[in-house]
Amino acid sequence: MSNINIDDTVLVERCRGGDTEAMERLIIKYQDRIYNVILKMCQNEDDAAELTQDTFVKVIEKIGSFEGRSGFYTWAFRIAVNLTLNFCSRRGRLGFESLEVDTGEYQQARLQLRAYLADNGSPDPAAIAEKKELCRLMERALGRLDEAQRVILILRDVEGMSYEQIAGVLNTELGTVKSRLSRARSSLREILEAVLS
Amino acid sequence: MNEHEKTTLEELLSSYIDGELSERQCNEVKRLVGHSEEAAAMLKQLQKNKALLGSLPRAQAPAHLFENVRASLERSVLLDEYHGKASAKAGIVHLYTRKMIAAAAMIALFAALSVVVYNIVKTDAPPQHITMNTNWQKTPEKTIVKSPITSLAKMELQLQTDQATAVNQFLYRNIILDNGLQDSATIKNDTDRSVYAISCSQARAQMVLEGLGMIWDKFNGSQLSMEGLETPVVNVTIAQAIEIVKEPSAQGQIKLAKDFSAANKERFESSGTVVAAADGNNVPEVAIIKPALASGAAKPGPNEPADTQKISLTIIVTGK
Repeated sequence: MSNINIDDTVLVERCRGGDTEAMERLIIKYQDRIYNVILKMCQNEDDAAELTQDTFVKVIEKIGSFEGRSGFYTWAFRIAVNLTLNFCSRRGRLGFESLEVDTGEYQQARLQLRAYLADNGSPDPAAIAEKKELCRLMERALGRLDEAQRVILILRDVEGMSYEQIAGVLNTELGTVKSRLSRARSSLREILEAVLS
Repeated sequence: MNEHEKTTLEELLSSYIDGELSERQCNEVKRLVGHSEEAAAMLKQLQKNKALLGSLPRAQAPAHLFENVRASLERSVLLDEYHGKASAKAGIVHLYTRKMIAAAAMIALFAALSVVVYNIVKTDAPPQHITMNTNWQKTPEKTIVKSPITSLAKMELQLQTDQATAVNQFLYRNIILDNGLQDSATIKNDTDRSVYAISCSQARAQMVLEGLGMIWDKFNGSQLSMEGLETPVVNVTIAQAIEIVKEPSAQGQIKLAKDFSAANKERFESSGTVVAAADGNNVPEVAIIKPALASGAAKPGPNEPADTQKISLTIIVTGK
């Protein structure tokens, strides 16, 4: 584990040769990012843990067929997203808690969201992360989007992928990514406006 | 702003906040936002939402994920190996089943062939010195009994002919070879006589004589001597010779030969002539048995059971 920044290509080649240390390095390198995306999509920790494990099992099993036309990172995320989308379609509508819950937490979240949007200053991520009710509200709002919009928004705004990477993960065209992302943001904005209204 | 314009603006602003627009498009967005409060509000909310999403706390992957992945992979490999072994075991069972079936088929085939061979051998060459009673098939161990070989009288048939060459050829080809006696006959050819010493069953001896009957007219003199017979049967006819051979015992053969000898002597003395060897009709009390070689009905087949009584028949052909 001395050289954790070793190139993915080298690690992949070593994995193909049955090198378990290389497998471990690849898993450690991407496990948090993949788990985070899956969790944001399925919104259940147990399901996310199982799906992450299934993703890496499939990655190791299929690594012999990895042709390298895309990056290992993109390829692994494609497997994770496909597994999660299949899981979500089997399960039906994602475990989504209604936003219209008249609880103290919900009211607190509304107030935090209103203050956040009214603030003209630059958003401070650390400060936002401390507002747990606001974050929870945002995650629940994500859950109200359909899977196609949710995944593209997570890949772009949570994972920070480029349009090209998103197109590679979703195996779609760049223009489709752009328009679908715009619609997803519009839908999210409408959901949040409904919360504030 | 209509719905289409709103959608176009949202897409433009979305790309703008992602930094995916060209410099010219960016300038257009800035100009648009500067002139439209609605566009500015929309851009601000998009930026806020994007920042909020990006600021959501990042979850940590569960601990021991790699160990779990490795365990899952090992289970998968073990299952694959198990399925491989199971299929291999099934293959082995299938292979053994096929081998067993093949072995059973071979055994059955061998048994069938053995029965066929046994039947052939049993009928073709039964033990010559072993006789079986009529119930041998039911209790073969108890009914198979050896019977002693009862030799009949030794006979010597002397024949005189003027066509010795033709007669000898006929004897060899049509009698010795046709009756399958080449192994049991000893042939000795001298300048003026040929000796055919044959040891065979009564039935075969009868057939030999019947064959001789076909050329009996080629002989101008005949005499039959027998062991134990004081006076040979002079001018013996082929019919007399056959009758003697057919007798079941040596004593019977000798007695009959004596009778024929006396009868022939009496006829010779009363007629004063030599009875032609070929004139079988001169012996009224004995009917000539015509040889049946022409039709083949009397010719022994290869499966004809061997006679237990052996007869020693010597045919001597003299003449030129």
